[in-house]
Amino acid sequence: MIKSFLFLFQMRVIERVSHALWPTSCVCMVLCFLVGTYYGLIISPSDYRQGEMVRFLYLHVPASWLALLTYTVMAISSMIGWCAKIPTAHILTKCLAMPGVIFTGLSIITGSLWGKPIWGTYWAWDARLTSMLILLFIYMGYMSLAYTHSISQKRLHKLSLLVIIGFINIPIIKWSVDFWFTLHQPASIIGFRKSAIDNVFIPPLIWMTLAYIAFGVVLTSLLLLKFIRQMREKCSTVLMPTLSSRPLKRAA
Amino acid sequence: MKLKLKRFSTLFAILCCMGGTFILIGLAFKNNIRFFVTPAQVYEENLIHHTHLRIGGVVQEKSLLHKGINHTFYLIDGIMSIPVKYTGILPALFKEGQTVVVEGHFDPEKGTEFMAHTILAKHDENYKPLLKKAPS
Repeated sequence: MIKSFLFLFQMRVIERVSHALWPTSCVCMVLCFLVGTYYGLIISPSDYRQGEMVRFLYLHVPASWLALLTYTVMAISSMIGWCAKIPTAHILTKCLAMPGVIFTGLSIITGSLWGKPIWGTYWAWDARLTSMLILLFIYMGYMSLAYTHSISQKRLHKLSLLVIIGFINIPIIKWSVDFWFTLHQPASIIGFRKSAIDNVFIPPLIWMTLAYIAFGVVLTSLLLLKFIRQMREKCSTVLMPTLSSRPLKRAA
Repeated sequence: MKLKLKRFSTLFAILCCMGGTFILIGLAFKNNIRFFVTPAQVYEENLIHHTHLRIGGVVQEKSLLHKGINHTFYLIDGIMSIPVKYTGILPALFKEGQTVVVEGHFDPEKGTEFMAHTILAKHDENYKPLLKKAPS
């Protein structure tokens, strides 16, 4: 069972999947953005208290969700790569960092712009906002170390510990609004409980979330192709000639 | 296999330390990470002399008075009420019955009225559509 799971981390498999995935994801991304924008700007009603400002919901919430989700996937990939010593798992972590930092930045910027008319301030040092800023710093710190030119696999392997240790921030972000008094309100959608968001607001939210996911997939796939090719070339010149001697079969 | 076990146990040790750190942070910072205190906590913890305070509560119904750009209202949390004085433009979401966070200090002489220099409106997690009534 584990062998079939580790099959996914083979270079050939990742390259083939990424190669097939990114064009379709691009199309999905554009479609979902268009539908989500149409739903969000035109069909969606305004909120009974926030008025038209509620439309920030469709930009801010998917970005926040995906910032946390991306880091979680990075942490899982790092743990797998660290325990089983799989180099492609670390490359996956490295490729996920770019969409992750974009989502976190978007979440903070859109949240800031939303906060000014609703709360009355662009920023407040409450637990939720501060921990999101710390997440941004963790992402940027990891990227500044991992995205150095021709980084060795050994260094990338050790860097995965940074990602794992930074994972402590995710439950802090998630439960900061429940544990402590914050300016940011508690979660509106919790699992399968009846959500505090009226059903009218859900469809554009879903479309925009899909659009953001598709964007993440496109970016990750393209980066994976780039870095695995880099790794292949390095392998062919140094060690493990068998890895690069197997040619990548491109679909006819 | 031995190496894998060694790496796994390193990881497990790190995760346990992180779990412990999480609990310790939660316990240690319980009072300091809070963004605001409630009116009841102001009197319980005797924070009236603090030079910078953030109090969160609900604007009491029928207590809002305007005198130009000077506004006074009562901030309540169901237990205590604090009279607040604010000079400036109120945020857009501010109204009676709304949860707000006021930032400032108590007046130095008597310590009964709260002089706010910033007011932030806090909104809850509910999102409901504005139902537009058709003109009859």
